[in-house]
Amino acid sequence: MKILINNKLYSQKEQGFTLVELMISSALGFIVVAGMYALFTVNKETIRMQSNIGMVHEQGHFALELIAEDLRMSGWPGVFDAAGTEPFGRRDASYPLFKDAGDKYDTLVISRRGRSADPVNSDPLLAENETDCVGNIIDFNVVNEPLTHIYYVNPDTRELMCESTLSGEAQALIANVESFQVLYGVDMSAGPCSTPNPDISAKDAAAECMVPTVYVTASELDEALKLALDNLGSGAHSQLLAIKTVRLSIMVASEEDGIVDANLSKDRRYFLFERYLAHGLQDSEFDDGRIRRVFMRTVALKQAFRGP
Amino acid sequence: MRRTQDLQKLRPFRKVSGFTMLEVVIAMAVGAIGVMAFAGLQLKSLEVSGQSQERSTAVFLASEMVERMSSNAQDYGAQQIYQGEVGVYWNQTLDEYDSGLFYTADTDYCFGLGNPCNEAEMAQGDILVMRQMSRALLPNGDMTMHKCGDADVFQCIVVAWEGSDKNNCSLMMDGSGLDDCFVLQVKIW
Repeated sequence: MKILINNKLYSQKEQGFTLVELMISSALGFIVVAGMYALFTVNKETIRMQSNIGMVHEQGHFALELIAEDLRMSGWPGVFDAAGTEPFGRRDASYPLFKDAGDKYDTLVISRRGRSADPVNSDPLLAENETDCVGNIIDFNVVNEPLTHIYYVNPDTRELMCESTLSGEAQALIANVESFQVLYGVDMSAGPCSTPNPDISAKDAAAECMVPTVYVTASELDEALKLALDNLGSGAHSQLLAIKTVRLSIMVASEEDGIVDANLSKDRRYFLFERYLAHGLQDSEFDDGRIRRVFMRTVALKQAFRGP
Repeated sequence: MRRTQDLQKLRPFRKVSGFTMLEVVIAMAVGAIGVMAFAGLQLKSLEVSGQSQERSTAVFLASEMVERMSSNAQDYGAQQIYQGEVGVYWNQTLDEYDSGLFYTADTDYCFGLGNPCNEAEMAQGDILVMRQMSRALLPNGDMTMHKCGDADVFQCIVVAWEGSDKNNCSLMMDGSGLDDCFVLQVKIW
């Protein structure tokens, strides 16, 4: 290039980049971009995995917490039934209290009186009408209406449902439930505890030991309760008081698949109490790379510890 | 005259120089350090969220133990087993279990109508199942329980994992850091 200034000609050589320089710089640029892309991808995968793990955790804990709370209230006699003749809940002819619906999914039925607003006693606890799990308000005027929740899993949608007998409607609680199992801790032994505390009075030491001695599935429950009643002598306990604990186990899968190595997850096996879940067994397919977790919870039914 | 000085600066055949390869490499190394820091941040966040996951699992294990103990608390013999005063169930070596399992409880432990237990057997079963469960849910996880508090009237349930020693985990009320262990102090009996 030639520049004309003050009638003098100045010369300047025009220098660009050589092809080699350009190629090297663009290659370096590509490496940087590839690095950024890898970082971004890993980041994205991590977030996906984390949110799925978190979701599985949250769902499992939420479901068990909700059912546990309901179980602890089970058999609440309500303000209108001070006698508490059926302290553990009432049996509904159309729904057995507990039932076992096959290998993968159990059904749990929990019954009690509703906590209706009580304008007479103005109890602060009863200031508001209670709702069932579907959201229906329990009618104050229907005095002895039992509130019954049926927890079951819809095998098609794999959602844990809560059905209320007030309206017959059902509400999905959590999704991606792969198994739901319930065990019942039954007190089958009569008499005092094996080793009473030496510090307590002889009368207390001779008191009936209110401890679950065996855990059974719903299919064995009726027989266990019958035996328990035979052992304890009729009238000593309400049949339902013999259930001391309820143990719940639920397996939740992640919403998204392809998160973990499908070949690795395929070989995993899971135990839900006595039930053994593995790939190819009991229709459980674990080769989709979903995260799965088993949650378990024992709920002591405090009302069942009340003396006879 | 100023103009002439300016012109003198404009030399003919001025050399145009880019960056040398060395400079570029150094610049990229500096950039890489920045990116590495970002990746480090990522790793740290993974670690912290993993820790919170572990802690919440530990809380679950401890509260499950509380529930099991309180349902079986009436018997003095069972209390002594839970507190580690009778038997070595908290310290006995656990049977190996298949990797990746939830737990392999001795399924005939108080399970099924044919296997009723007494209070002590129920306590043993609870301890073994809970320890196996802690091992399955936490890396190198284990649990123990002992009497604690003033005059030993409380029960302390300890969940330890990673490198923490379950027999050497104290209640951290002073907020001085968190070990990979968790103590739940309760009064069941």
